[in-house]
Amino acid sequence: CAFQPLYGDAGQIAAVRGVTIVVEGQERVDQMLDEALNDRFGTPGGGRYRLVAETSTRTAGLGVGADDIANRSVLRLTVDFSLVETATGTPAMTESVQTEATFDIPREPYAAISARRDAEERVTQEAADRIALRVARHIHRGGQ
Amino acid sequence: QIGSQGGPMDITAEHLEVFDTERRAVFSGEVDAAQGDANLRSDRLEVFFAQRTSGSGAGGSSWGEVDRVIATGNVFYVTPDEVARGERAVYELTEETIVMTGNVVLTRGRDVITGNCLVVDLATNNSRVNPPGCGGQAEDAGTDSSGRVRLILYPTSDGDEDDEDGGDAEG
Amino acid sequence: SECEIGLDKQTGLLTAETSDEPVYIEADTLIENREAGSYIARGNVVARQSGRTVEADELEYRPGQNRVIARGNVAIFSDNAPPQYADEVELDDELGEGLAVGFSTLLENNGRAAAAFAARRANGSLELTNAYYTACRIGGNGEEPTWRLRAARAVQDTEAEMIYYRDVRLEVLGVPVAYAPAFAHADPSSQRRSGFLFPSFGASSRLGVFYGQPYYWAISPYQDLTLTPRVMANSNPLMEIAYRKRFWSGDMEFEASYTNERDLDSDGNLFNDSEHRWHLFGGGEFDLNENWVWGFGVQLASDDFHLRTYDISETYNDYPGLFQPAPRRLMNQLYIRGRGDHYYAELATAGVQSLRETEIDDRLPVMAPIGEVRLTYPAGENFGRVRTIASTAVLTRNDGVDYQRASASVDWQARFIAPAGLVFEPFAAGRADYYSFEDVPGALPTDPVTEDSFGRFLGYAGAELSWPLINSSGETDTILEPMIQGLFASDASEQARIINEDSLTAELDETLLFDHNRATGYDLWEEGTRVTYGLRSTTFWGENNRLRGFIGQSRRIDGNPVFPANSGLFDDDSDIIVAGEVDLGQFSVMARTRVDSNDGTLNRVDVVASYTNDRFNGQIRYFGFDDALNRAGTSEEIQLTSQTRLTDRWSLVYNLQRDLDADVNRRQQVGFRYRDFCTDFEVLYQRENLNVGALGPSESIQFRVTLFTLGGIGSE
Repeated sequence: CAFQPLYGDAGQIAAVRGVTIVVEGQERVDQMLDEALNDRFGTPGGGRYRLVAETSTRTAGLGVGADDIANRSVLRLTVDFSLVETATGTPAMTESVQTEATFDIPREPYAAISARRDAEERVTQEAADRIALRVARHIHRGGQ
Repeated sequence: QIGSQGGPMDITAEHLEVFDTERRAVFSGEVDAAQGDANLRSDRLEVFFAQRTSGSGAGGSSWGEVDRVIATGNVFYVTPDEVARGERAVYELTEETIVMTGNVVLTRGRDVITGNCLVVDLATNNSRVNPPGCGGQAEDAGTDSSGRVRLILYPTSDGDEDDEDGGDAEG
Repeated sequence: SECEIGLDKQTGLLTAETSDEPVYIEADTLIENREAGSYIARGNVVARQSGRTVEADELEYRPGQNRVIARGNVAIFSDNAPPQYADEVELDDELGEGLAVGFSTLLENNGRAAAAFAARRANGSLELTNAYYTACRIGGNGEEPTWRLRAARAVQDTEAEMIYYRDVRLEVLGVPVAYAPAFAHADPSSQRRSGFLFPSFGASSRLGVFYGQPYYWAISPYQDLTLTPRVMANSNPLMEIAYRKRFWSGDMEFEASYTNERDLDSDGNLFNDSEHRWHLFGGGEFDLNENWVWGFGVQLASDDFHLRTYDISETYNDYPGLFQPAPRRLMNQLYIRGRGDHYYAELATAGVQSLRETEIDDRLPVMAPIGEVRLTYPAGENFGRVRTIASTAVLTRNDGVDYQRASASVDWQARFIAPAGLVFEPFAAGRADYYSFEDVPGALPTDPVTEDSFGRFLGYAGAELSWPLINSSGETDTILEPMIQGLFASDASEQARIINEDSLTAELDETLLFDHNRATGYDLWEEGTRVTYGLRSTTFWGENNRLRGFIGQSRRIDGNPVFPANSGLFDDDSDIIVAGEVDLGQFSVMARTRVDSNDGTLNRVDVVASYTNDRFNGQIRYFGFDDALNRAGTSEEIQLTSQTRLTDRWSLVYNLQRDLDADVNRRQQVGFRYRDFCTDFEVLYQRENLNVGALGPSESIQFRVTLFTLGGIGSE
């Protein structure tokens, strides 16, 4: 059978809209993921599903020269999320997503902070893309 | 003798039957045989007498000393420091032992010992419960099937034992 | 873990009158011996008294002397102590205090003690003669435990919760390895006891043979201190201190080291005169309320090489902090941070100390304050959301430009799903910046420094259209997402007057391509009109297998390039981003590339492959930039991390960091690790090919031994 729209009928659209986003955690990366997910699912929440997510990040240095200074870094983000039926509270989907973003480390300290934060934004955007896609697929398959 | 002191045995009962040829006397009904400070009470008591050994005395019967006593039915053997209860007791003079069987309960002050078979050695006043070959197996259906000895002993503390007849165990 | 320790934890015996709890005995036979004043019970004897039970073949009870002697297969059970076994035990009639022959007991955290002869004191302490102690499982078939302490005498003091030994030998697999006249360790059941932790020792080309002996002091239930003096062949001893304290609202940790020594080069030779050398790391984070915390981070060192010389980690990753310092730099920071339902806010000040010998601290800025507040709220019923961000950054340098910026922006974004599944996402944003610069150097060094301050207004608007299509056949789903984005941005006004502090790099990848504001920070603004297009395909099948591909590019229709020439965003047609990923659970590989839009060369390749099964897990990561980009620093590198389980107890660790520019292994580690029920032993050989100041290439081998429950980690 051929390709058909992912958001084919009104039911699927309604189910995808109004997903309440809850990202646990107090760090800036949690806020970035919260904003990215809200952009994908369209606020306001209060719909049929609630998406609960938790982040954990790890960084590693890349490009270590003779001076033992890494001039690049990779930021790996793991998001454990579950899609919960708001009415019954039963999790319809519980999965984990891993994404990573690399960034150069400039010599200026403040520029390095800014580069790292930009990487946090990029890595949460990609994680949100992947989560949104999996949720959309789940709903498309009838939301079992 | 029943007690450790020996001395005359005084038996009271409601009935007495004497079987001369068998040198056997049977007391029945609230039998109480007392000797010194020990008492043996039971529903029925059979006393067997030994053959008089040295020629027949003048006109006396040919009965010698008491050589065996068998008490049956609610047997109580009471001494100042312990009370033994059972269904049947056999008192062998020659071996100076009392063997009591059938739901034996021996109490000394607050201490209680139960078993199928109690053997009291009157010479040393030591008692043995369920010794090998006696009462280990439940010959009497009434006893509990495991044939085990059970004791509850209270540790004595020096000198503050209040009830006198609690009977401090010697030693 | 099992129950507590000792024959009997209850110490009722110390009450004035002996408890008149009766002793209940059950046996096959009972014999009374009046002269000895004893009862002898024989045959499956079970004796119980107030919660304690003794089983034995034979039990002699002397009420007068209140002694109980149990003989033959004796087992002692207390309701809160593990069972203890002996050939013969003599106890008081509360079955509490007494002596045992051929005694053995199970302690908590599966420590095992056994002795030829054991005496139990009223307070439950245990004195063992010819005793042994181990936390290892004892194989039924007489297999020796991995390690065992054998001592002439051992006293287990339940009050002090310690076990003391006399004439103790450590036996490894039955072979005596070490001897000590006296030794003590915490009773395994105790929670936190002061005492010696396991040493770390080894040898390195720089320090020579070294031995560090940590002593752990549990000051209070919420405070502890670890002192680790370390003696080294090539240098004066170093004292390391680690202090931790927990408050009701958070916790605080510090580590420090001190020595007085000359400089040390990587061959262990001393030069220059001796100085005080020290370092202090620390940090704390405390809750103000459920949404807000404040915290601080401290990193100070006496000189650039102290940490490196004594193998103290320069990274800061297990201390609290808003910012991570760049490599070979130390950062001190004080911050407050809050996150609620629809807001996030932070304010921090941070200072930097550089360990890079070419950097002068005066030129590094003090970043005080750096702040940001983000608020998002819905725009009407379903018209997307509006987000307002206020942010500031003030950088002051003793020698260099002082930079002050404050910005406020509002951006709106919505998502509409049109009929036939078309997804339409319009967006628009406006921003106002205020800048003020001081001590700006002129073109020539002789020119006087100048100041400048100004404001600017910027904005962009645009929309993204995507049409996600799905093809399901059986379990397999393939989703195609064609995407196109058009964006118009205002001119980058005043760009020339801005000294760029926060947007010095640009990492062009799949997410940056479609970002609305592609600059890293505020100081760069991408002006003009551009269109970005891309296609993403994701295939799901099986348990959680995934195949993912992406190709995309952006084209600038008008406006000047603002990104660096080698960023891939300089030309009108950006580099083409091609990325792919296969994830089969056990095995996954991901590749990201930047393909030059003119000549098709690979400007950047990033590849990560990882494989895990029950015996092996490893990851290999390669990245390489085309030399034409002439980037500074290493531009091609391969990193490998791997752990292989050789047997169910031995595992091999191998890590490698290879600099492909200089064709040199910067760091190589080979480690053997033995791990079983009661032991954790590790030997790690490390070879570094670096030269940082006087510290050139170095090799080191390090041992770490931990016998569980004897200090160091608790049970497994």
